[in-house]
Amino acid sequence: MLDLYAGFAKTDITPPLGTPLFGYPSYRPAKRVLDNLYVSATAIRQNDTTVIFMSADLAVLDNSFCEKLYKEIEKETGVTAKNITLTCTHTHSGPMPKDTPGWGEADTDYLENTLAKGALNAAKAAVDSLTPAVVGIGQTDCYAAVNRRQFKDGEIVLGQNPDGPFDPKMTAIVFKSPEGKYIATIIHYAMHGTCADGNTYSITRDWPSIMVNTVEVMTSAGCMYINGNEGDIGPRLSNGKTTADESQIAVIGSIAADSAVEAINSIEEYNIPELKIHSDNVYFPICEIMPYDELLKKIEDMGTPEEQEANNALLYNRLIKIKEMYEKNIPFEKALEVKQTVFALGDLALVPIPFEAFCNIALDLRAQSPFKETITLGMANGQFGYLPTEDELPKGGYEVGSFYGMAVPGFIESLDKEIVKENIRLLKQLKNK
Amino acid sequence: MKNLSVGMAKVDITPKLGCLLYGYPAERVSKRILDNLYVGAVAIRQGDETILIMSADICAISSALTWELQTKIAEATGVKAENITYSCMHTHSGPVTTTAAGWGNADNEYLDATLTNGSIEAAKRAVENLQPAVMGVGQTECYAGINRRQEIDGEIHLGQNLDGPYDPTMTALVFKTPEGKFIGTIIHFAMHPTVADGHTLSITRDWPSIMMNTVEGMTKAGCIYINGAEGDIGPRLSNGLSTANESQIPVIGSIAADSAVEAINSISEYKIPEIKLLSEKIHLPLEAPPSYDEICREIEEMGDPSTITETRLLRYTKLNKLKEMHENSEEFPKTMEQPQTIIAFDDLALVPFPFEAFCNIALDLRAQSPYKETLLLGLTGGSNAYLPTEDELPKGGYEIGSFRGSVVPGFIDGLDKEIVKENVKLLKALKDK
Repeated sequence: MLDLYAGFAKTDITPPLGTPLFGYPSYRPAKRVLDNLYVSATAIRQNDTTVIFMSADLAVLDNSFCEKLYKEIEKETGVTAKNITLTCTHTHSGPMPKDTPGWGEADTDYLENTLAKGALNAAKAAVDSLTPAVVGIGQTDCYAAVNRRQFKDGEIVLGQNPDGPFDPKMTAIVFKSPEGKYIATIIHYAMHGTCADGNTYSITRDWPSIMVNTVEVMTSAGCMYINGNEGDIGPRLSNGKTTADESQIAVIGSIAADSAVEAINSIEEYNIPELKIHSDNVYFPICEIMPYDELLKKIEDMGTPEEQEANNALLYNRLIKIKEMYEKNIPFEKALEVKQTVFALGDLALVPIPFEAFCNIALDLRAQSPFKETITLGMANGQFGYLPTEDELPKGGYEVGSFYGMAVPGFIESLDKEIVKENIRLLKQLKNK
Repeated sequence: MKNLSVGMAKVDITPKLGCLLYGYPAERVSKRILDNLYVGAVAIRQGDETILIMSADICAISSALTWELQTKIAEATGVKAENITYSCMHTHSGPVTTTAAGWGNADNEYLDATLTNGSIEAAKRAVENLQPAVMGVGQTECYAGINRRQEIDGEIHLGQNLDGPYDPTMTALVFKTPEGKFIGTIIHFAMHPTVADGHTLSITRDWPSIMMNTVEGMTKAGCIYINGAEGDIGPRLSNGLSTANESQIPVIGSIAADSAVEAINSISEYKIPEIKLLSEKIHLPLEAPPSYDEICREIEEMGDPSTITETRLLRYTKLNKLKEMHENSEEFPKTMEQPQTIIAFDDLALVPFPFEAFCNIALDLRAQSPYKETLLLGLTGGSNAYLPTEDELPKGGYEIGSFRGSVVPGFIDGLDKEIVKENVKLLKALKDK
């Protein structure tokens, strides 16, 4: 007979006041705290396998940071590094977690002394608190969000596109003791944490704050939020835009909170599902690199570094790095090799995606998956940039510019399909295990 | 040489979802959590004397319950009951903690279990955390609040009165270790936490949430908020009213947060103050009740009881109690006895008021006090009713109706002056101690 253990812990990772905030190009030293930031961990054990799902109330993280952190957690907890997944909730009102040209440099002191220590403590405490558990999975439709790629005056701008792809599904993974006491809840839903805009000087988890607080009081147990494919999904704000100000956090957060309660209440059965994992390397194909002379001309055409703003700053930085690779004779690989672990809890599969992926990628993956339900964990194990679907690239817009500028040396345009294909391969292997 | 030890602790006292919310006459079942509620305690020891300054994120509790809590805390901690100062910060989006006709019945289960246990636990931990400390006092002016007694068409309404009495003083009492590490902060400021109105179905501390979070983020230590003479003071909302909705909490909270940071940063010296306290019983004069015939006539004039609401219902309930007392030939007390402890830290005096006192009472007390600075601690030691200044009584309005309806048989009209007189007498005695 199967048995299952679950444990939960969270650690406060609120940065000090004065910390520059990340999420928009503007320089914003934090003046106040609307709500604290946390890193949370849910540990799950079945037989000899232990996995840890973690979520940090930050925008994004670098892949190398995650890899290093997993090794430290492995050393402290004994949980294999490949069984650990750290995601970011994607608040745009937290500290600088990653170097981003034009947006600022990573706050390395914060990453090392607050986040890494906090994550390690949360992971250890979650493993230490492992206790016999049953699992329930509930889903509901939540309309707090909307596609944000709005077509306006012949251009794609950040706004609201009610006709664009949107996945309303919110999933609650709830762990209880066999006696019925809540142990932890994971809420999965895809939406940018951007109610608070670039004029915000407050530290906040944004809308997930209200949702997580509500679930925690409802269950008297910890709750963590994992974002999904939010690349093209923003909050459905009453101003018709994709950002507003702090005042809208309660509005959007309340809709999400109500849905989370509904998802939990929809659970009819708690049981012990089979926990399965499968790890393999996946390959993200690299794009063709332009010849050196062409590259130099392009850099020259773009002007001086000081002239570059937003996505142009990303692209400029990328081209300079490619130039350096040429000059240092660093070979251009055909593909980026990434360690990938996919998980299943009974009929529910969880697929980490180290990108801000577009909604349709999650829908494609779900449609092709051999599992009854498949959810993508956005910004998991780091973030290589936005990941649009290939058909959106010609339309342009902020996310597409970021896709072309963020990763070095750069990915092929059909990366979306490659990633779905690679993960479906893994999911099929997992299903047959 | 003087010594000082200080300890701080906070305990979560968020009620369960589904609990009724208190603060407005409307019946409101809580659906979500904007932010959690806490009870905080600051333990302060000098020589053989230990005091506890506590604040709970709830609307109000009775004087009887407050004394009962203080007695239980005294048993658990060894701190004398009269050395405990217990305030309610007056959120209008917390559980029902007191019984008021038309507003609901006190949630006794919450009071007996969550609030009582939480308060004892916070006090115990604060005492356990006692450590060598120095203290600093900082002040600034904060314009997040405004007088709320607005005259419209010859009547006083809850709104905004720019010309009405208003005290912008915000005070920070900050405790640090001798090495400079923050131990805890008490913020004092007078303003109703009514940004969230009677349509709000969320549990929240209202605007103080942002202020306390910010101070805690700044100091990496606990912060409690103690309200002042907020009887006629509401938030300075952009809608021109005294209430709005949850979305305005960050707006008003941010102004208060910025002021709190300013008050803390204004502290130029941390030292060990001399702490003095004085406990006495003060006697609050009660009015002579109307005659039996007068009561019967007023009840009859009020009409169909089913149509009576809000402050008229308070009055109606009070008249019926008086009628019963007449019929049972009960003796009408002439005064209400109130245990009172005033505390001084060098030149700063703290005076608990078991009322929602009007701003001018705090200003009168400050003007007549022998201390350089005197703070009126609102809703402290219980909450008997609103306490208007006598000159405001003829103008009427919500607070006056509440004053006339809340206490049986009722206070004299000049209670404001009597209370100030009694407390100034105590302050002089304390000063001469």
